[in-house]
Amino acid sequence: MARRRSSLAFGLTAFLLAGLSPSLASLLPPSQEPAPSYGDALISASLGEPSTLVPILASDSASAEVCSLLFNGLVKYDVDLRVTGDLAERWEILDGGLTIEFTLKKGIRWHDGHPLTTRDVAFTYEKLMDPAVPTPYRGDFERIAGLTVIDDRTIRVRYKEPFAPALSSWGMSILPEHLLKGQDLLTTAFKENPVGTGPFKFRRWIRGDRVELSANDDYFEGRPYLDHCFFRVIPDASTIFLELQAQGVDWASLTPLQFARMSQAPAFERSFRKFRFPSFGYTYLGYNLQDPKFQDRRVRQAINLAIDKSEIIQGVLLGLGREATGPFPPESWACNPEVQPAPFDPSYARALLAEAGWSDKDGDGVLDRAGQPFEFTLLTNQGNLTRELTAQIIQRRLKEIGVRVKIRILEWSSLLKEFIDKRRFEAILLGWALSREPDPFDIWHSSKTKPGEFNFIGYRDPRVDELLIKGRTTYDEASRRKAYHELHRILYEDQPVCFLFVPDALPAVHRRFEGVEVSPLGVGHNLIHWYAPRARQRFRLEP
Amino acid sequence: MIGLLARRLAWTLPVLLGITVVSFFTMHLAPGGPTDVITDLNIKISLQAKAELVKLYGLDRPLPQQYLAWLARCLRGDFGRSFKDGRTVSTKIAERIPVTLTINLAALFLILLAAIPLGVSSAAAEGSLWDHGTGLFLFILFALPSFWVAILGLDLFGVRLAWLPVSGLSSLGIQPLSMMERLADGARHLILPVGVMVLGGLTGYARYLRSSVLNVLKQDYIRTAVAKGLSEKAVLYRHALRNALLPFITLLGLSVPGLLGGSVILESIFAIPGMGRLFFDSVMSRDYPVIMGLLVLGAVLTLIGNLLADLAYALADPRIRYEEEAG
Amino acid sequence: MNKTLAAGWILLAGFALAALAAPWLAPADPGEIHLEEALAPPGGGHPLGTDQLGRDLWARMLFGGRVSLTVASVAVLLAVTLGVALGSVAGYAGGWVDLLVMRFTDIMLCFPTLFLILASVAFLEPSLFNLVAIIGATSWMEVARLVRAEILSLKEREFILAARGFGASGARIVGRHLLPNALAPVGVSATLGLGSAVFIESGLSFLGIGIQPPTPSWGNILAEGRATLGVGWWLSLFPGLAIFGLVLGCNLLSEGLRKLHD
Repeated sequence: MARRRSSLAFGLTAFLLAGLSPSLASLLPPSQEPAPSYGDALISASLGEPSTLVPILASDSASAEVCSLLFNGLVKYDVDLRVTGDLAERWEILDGGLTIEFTLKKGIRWHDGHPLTTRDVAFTYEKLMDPAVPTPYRGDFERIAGLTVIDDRTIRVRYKEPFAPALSSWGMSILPEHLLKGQDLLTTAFKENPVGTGPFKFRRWIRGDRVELSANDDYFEGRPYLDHCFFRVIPDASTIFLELQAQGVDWASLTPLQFARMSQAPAFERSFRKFRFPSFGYTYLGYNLQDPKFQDRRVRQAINLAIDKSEIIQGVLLGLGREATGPFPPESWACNPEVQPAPFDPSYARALLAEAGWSDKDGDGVLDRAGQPFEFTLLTNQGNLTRELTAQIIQRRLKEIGVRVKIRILEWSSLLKEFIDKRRFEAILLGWALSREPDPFDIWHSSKTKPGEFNFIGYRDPRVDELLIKGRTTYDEASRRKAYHELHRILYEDQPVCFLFVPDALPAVHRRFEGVEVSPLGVGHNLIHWYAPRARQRFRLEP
Repeated sequence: MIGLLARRLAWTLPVLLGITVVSFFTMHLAPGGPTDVITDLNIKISLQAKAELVKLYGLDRPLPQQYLAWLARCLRGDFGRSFKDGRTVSTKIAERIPVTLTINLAALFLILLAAIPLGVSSAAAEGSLWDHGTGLFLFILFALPSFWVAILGLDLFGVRLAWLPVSGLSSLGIQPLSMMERLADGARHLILPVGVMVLGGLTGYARYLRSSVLNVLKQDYIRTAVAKGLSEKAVLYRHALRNALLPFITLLGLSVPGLLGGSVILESIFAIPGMGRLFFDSVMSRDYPVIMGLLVLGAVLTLIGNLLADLAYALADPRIRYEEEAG
Repeated sequence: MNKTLAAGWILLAGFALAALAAPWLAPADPGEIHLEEALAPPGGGHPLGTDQLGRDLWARMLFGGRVSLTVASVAVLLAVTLGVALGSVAGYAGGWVDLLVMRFTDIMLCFPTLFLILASVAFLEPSLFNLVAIIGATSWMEVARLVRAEILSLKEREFILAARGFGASGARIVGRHLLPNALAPVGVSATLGLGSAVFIESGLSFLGIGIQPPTPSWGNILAEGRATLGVGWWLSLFPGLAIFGLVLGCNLLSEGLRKLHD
C-alpha cells in the first residue's frame, strides 16, 4: 500500500510541477506522441531463479533473459528475422563462406569503462572451446578452424567447411577478457558482479528474490528510457498472476487459462495489455524408437491419427495455439506449408494397428500382439500444467483405440538424468524451444544419440541425415529451404514423434509503458525503447 | 549449572554424529550417484569435468570412506559447493537464515502472546462456556490446512481487498524510504505468512499450556495459596503460570523442526527466499550438497533449540537438579 | 462415550464410508474427460462442479478421499507398528539396547520431518507405496517414546513381577501384560498422527510430489484449484474443506480418547 500511495504522490508532484492542466494535454492531436521520458522501473517475473549470469554457461531461460540485457553478441536478429549487427558494425563473408571477417562498432565500452576489442571475442571463443568450461554452446563453434585478430576492431574467423549457422552463432554473448583472463568461470567473482556491454548494468542480486539492473548511460544504441529493470523470482505461476493483479509485477507470461478466462476483469484490462503471438517451438509426443512397439511406422502413424490435436488445442490451450506439423514452427522459412496434418481418425488408426499385428484377442479392451498388451508409460515434466493436462487427454484417446497409457510426472532434472539420458522411457511429452536459425541437426541426426545429446529418441534415417548435412553446409537459402522442406515432409510421414501443437506466447505488460510492440522476436526485443510517461511513472530510485 | 551444561553437551555429541549419518545415507537412497546430476544441468559437460567431480567428492571410494571424508569437511564448516551455481553451500544457507528466523520468531512471539492468556484463562475457567468455546475454536484452527488458508488469504487480502502485498519480502523501490517506513513495509509483507503460521501453531501451545496450568492448579501448594486467601489472579499468574511455563519451555525447544518444515510450503506459496524454499528448490534440482547441508543444519538448529530450552528450564527453576534423564 | 469422541467418530466414519462407497456414490468415472463441460460451477449434473478437463469434482473428491485415507491410515499403522516394536524393546530390554534405540529416536526427532520426507520422496519415486513407507518411517518416534515410558512405569509393578515369577517369556509379558496398558496413550497419539499424515500427504500432493495425476487426491485437486482461483472457486474450496473435516475428525477422536483415558 505504501507503494501505491507513493506513486500517487509522485504522480501529483509531476502534475503540479508541469503546471499544465490535463485539458491542455488533451488538446494535442492524439497522433502526436509526447517525447519519451526517462525514468521508472520495469518489474518482470520469472518462475525460476537464474542459475548463473555468465552467459556462456547459462542454459536456463531465466539466466538467458537477464544475460540478454547485460551482454551483446556480435550479431543479432532484427524484427524481420534477418541477422544484423549488434557489437559488429559489419561483416564480410569470404572464401565462399569459409571465412567471416567481423568489424566491431567504434567506441563500445564495457560497463566498467574498459574498451571492447576483438581480443574479447577471441577470448570468448577460447572459453567456449576450453574443455574445463561446461558450456552447452560448444557445438556451434567446433567447426571453426581458427580465429585471427587483425586489429582492435577486426577479427577473422575461418571454418573447416561451409557452415550455414556460422553467422547466427555469433549471437553468442561476448565476455570481457580483462576481467576473466585466467579465471575459472565456475567460481570467479565475476558471476556475482557481471560486467557486460548491454543496455543494462548489473546492480545487485538478492538471492531467491530478485536481480536488479540499472540503465547503462553509455549504451552504444543510446541509453534505455527505463532507469531500472527488475527480475523477480516467483516460483509459481498462480502467485505471479496474483502479483500482476496486485500490480507488484509489470511484465509476465500468462497461462492459457489466465489469458482467456482469468484476466477479463476490468481492473486487469485497465492496467495491462495482453499480447498473443505464436511461440517459436512446439510440443510433441516422442517415442523411444529402440522399443520394438514403436519401431513399426504404422503404429506411430496410428497414434498420430488417434490423437485429436484440435481437441487438445481447444481444451488445454483454450484455442491459444496451432497444430504442429513438423520440426519447424509455421513462422520459419524452413517450414513446408504443403505438409497438411492428417485428420483425426480413430477407426483408420485401429486398422493400421491391426495391420501391424495389434488386435484385442483376449477381449479385455487392450490391444495385444503375441500375448503382450499394448501399454506404455508416458513421462512428462512437472510444473507445466499444459503438459499434464495434454497427457491426460492423450491417455483417454489412446484408451479408445485399445492402447493403455500410464502417466508419470517427473521433476525436470531427474527426468533428464534418470530417464532420458539413460533411455529409460517408452514415450515422453516434451517441447522444443527453437532458435531462429532452423538447422535441426542436433535433434534428428543419427550421430546425436549419445547420452546428453538431443536425438534421445534414437531416430536414424539415411535420407534425413543427408538432408540435415545439406541444409547446414550451404549458404544458398533456396537450396537450404528445399532440403528442409523435404525433411519436414519425411518427418511428418515417418512420425518419429507425434507433433502436437505450437502454443502461443501470452505476455501481459503494464499499460503505463509506451513503445511496447510485438514482433516475431517477441515482446521484449525493443526494451530499450520502452518508456513510461512521466505522469504515470511509479518508481523513483536513488542510483 | 556447569555440570548440567557439560552433561548436556556430552549427550549432544553422539546425537550430532547420528544426524550426519542419517543425512548422509538419506542422500544415498537415490538410485545412481550425485555426479550424474551436474552433467544434466549443462548438457555438454566434458567427461573429464565429471571425473574431476567424482574425485572432488570422493565418489569413487566406498560409502563409509565417503562419509568420513564428508564429515571431516563438515566439521571444518565446508559443506562443499552447490551443483547448481557453484557457490558454497554455507553462503547459500547463510543468506537464507535471517529470513526464516525472522518469520519464525515473529510467529512464535505472536503465538505466545495469544496462547498464554488463552491457555491460562481457559484453564482457570475449566468447564465453562469460555473454556469450551475457545477449545472448539482452537480445534478448528488446528485442523485447517495451512496451504489452504494461505491461498484463501492471498486471494482475499492480497487481490480482492488489495490490503496486503501478495508475495516477496519488501516492496521494490523502497530505497528513498526512511528506516521506519522500510520496517513498516517489511512488516506488511510478513502479515500474511506470519499470520498463517500463527493460526497453525496457536492450538498446540494454547492447549499445552491449558493442561499444564490445570496440572499445577491441582497441586497442593496452589490449594494452600488459595486457602491462605490469595486472590485468584495472583495465584493464577504468580504461582500457577510460572510453574506451568516450565514444561512449556521444553515444548518451545521441540517445536523448532516443525517450524522449519512448515516453512517449506508457506515460503513457496508466498515467494519468500528462506531456508524452506531453498530446501525445496534444492530437492527439486537434486542439488545434493545443499540438501545435505540443510538437513544437517536443520537438525543442529533443533539440537540447539533443545539445549537452550534445557538451560532455560534450569535457569527458570534453580531448584531443579539435573538427573540422568531416562528418556 | 463423551461428546468429543462421538463427534470424532461420526466425522471419521462419514469420510470412511464415503471413501468405501465411492464407486456407488460417484455419478461418473473420476477420470472421464468432457472438455465441453470444463470448469462448470456446482449444480446441475455436477453437484460440486467440474475441473479444467470437465471431470466431475464430486467423483474426484470421493476417489481422492480414498487415496488420502488409505495413505494416511496405512502410514499411521506402519508408524505405530514401528513405534510399538522399538518402544517395547527399548523399555523391556533396558540397558544399552534402550540407550541405542532412544538415541536413534532423539536423532530422528531432530530433523524437520518435512525435510526428511521431501528429500526421500524426491529421490525415490512418488508411488503410493513409497509415500506410505516414507510417512510411516518418519513418524513413529512419539509412539516409541510413549510405549517405552509406559512399559518402564509398569515393569516393576507386582503383576508383572508375578508373571515373571511364573516363568513367562519376555515377549509374552510385553504382549500380554505391558502393551494393553500402553494402548490408550498410543491410541491418542495415533489418531492425532492420522490427522498429520493427512496433512503431509495433501501437502506433498499440493506441491506436486505426492499423488500423481490423473489419480485424484485432495492435495492435487487443491493445487489445480490454486491455478484456477478466479474462475473455479469450487476447486479450491471443496478439497480444502474435506482435508479440514477429516483432520478435525481425527483430532476430535484423539481428544475424545484422551478424555476417556483420563
